[in-house]
Amino acid sequence: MENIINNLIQFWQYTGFANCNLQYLIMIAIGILFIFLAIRFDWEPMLLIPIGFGILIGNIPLFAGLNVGVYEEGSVFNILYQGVQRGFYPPLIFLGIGAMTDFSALISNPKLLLIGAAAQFGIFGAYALALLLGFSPSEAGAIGIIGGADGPTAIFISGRLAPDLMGAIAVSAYSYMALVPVIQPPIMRLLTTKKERLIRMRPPRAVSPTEKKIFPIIGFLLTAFIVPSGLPLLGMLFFGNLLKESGVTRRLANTASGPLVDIVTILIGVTVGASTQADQFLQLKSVLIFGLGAGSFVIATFTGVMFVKFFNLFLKEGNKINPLIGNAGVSAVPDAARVSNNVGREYDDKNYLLMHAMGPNVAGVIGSAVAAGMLLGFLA
Amino acid sequence: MKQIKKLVVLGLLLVSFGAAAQQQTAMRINEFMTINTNDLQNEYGVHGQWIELFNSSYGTVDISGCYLTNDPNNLKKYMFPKGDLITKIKPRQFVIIWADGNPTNGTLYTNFNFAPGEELLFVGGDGKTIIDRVKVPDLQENQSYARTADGKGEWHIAQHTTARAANITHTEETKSQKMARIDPYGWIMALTAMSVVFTALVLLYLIFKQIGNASIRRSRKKTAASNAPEAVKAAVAAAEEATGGETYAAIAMAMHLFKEENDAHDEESFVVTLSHTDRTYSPWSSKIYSLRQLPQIKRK
Repeated sequence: MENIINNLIQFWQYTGFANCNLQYLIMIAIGILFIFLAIRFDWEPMLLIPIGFGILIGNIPLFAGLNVGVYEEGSVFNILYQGVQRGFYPPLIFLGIGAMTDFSALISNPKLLLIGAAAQFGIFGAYALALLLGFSPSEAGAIGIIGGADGPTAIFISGRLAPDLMGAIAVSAYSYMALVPVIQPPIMRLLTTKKERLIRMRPPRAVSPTEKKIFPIIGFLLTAFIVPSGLPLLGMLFFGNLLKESGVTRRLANTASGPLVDIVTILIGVTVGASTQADQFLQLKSVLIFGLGAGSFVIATFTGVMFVKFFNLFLKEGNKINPLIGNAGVSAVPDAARVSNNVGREYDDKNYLLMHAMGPNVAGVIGSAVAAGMLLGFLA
Repeated sequence: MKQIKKLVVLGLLLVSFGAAAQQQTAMRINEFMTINTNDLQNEYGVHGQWIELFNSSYGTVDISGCYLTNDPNNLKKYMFPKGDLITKIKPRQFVIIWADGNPTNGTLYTNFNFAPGEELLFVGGDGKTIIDRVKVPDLQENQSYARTADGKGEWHIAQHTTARAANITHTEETKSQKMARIDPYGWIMALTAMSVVFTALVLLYLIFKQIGNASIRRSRKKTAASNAPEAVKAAVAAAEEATGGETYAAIAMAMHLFKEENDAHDEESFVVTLSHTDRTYSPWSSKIYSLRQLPQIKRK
């Protein structure tokens, strides 16, 4: 009988209840909050549900050596986490993004590319702020990439530059992407006059299939020659787009933009969530990262809108760009473009900015991949 | 009988937990010193022979019950005591074992010394499995023999001893450190990177501006080359100019909605499905309700 009691006492010590502390409970509450926000308010549910549940998985109190935790070599979660740690999930997601993205808006009005470039100031603004707060350049680069509003890129870069901060950076990036409709509109209204908000842009011209086929090839060659360190992201993005536009690889494009990207999204979400173990996540650094993430989104929106206003000084009447699409330079596709459209229609119900905003929006994807390559080149 | 079964299951569960907790195969002999006169001191202030073990895994490893020996014919020469927390080695961490021949000094003190020509062996908890072994070379005073990289790599006589630390010590400046030195505020990085981002996208803009112009010229030429009367050509050109992507998008959306609402198919699958729709039984036991259907929140 005594043995049985001893065994039960020993068993109790193995359980999560015995190993639990307040930190784990806080993280579990955060995971449940993510799931709640996704279900109740429909905020990025495809990401917040896997991340939220991943947080629950990662914060079950374990005793060391059980070989099930995400950081324990050879465990199932550790094997799945390799895709994040070694950075092969983000390029696969970029393949899917490429296969889903229609670059027509950009090809028909290529000057919108420059807005996508301007919004990347968010990345480097946050980089400078992070340095001021005492982060090392590698950490600052990983934090700054939150301003690119691109989850896979944020994971890819933080995995290379600051693996310890990856959980906080990924959660911050995806949280702010979900909050794009909340963060951006006040800044857009603040920086524009009513007259500017009413600018109607010329409808984009129809783009020929040949142009669409040429775009991924030239786009890839040019950007990859300039920033070879961005090869994994740029290569997969443009490759995915060629699958879509070539017209002869429909099955491959469907797989890349459908099942493949869904599978990788599930894996990346749940493993990133699981990597936010309480002892690594609940630190002052994480709070600072969240603050800097917000700052980077504000800077990106600011520079995007202000760049359009500046650009308009050189454009003839009739060719002017509505500055409300400046926010779309961050690459949160298509949410940022949708925000441009919604804010535009608040002032002119017939002014549909969605297609115009998609130009800088997809340019932002290219721009953030190039910026990521620069960070890797200088800091990795 | 049932209770016995439960106890057996519980026992097996506990044993399996115990087994899972052991990842002793990840342990490596990482560095050691034979003649220590002014290197590391133990907690009694004595310089002695030491052996550094390294946990190469990402999980904590408990080495209690494992063995360390300098005799291949006696693999159970020294057993790490059980019940001491210091035998739990954290992920990617090191532990120093003192080979002073006096195990009563503490948990991490062996009952043997070792000498050049002998072998050091780390043996698993079964007393048979040799997890790691290394031949002891001739070393001078305060010289250590170490792996070139922690837990792996060739053995070499180390330039500097690195007890309780990584064997590879990077003395050269990393890129990040260099950036911190030359660009403490991040302005150089920001301006350099932004100029590259702009250059890349401006080049892309210029190329696609030209491609777009060529495409428009080609389209106009095509219209002009057709046999249609001039008035028709002009009308077609004007219509093409005026018809933007928005029109096409609106047409596509209308067709998509029509297709969705009417469940219209472009191509029929030619598959006939017999669907059993008898719902007289309780839905609680129905696969239709419990397995096949995914709940869907309908938002307005």
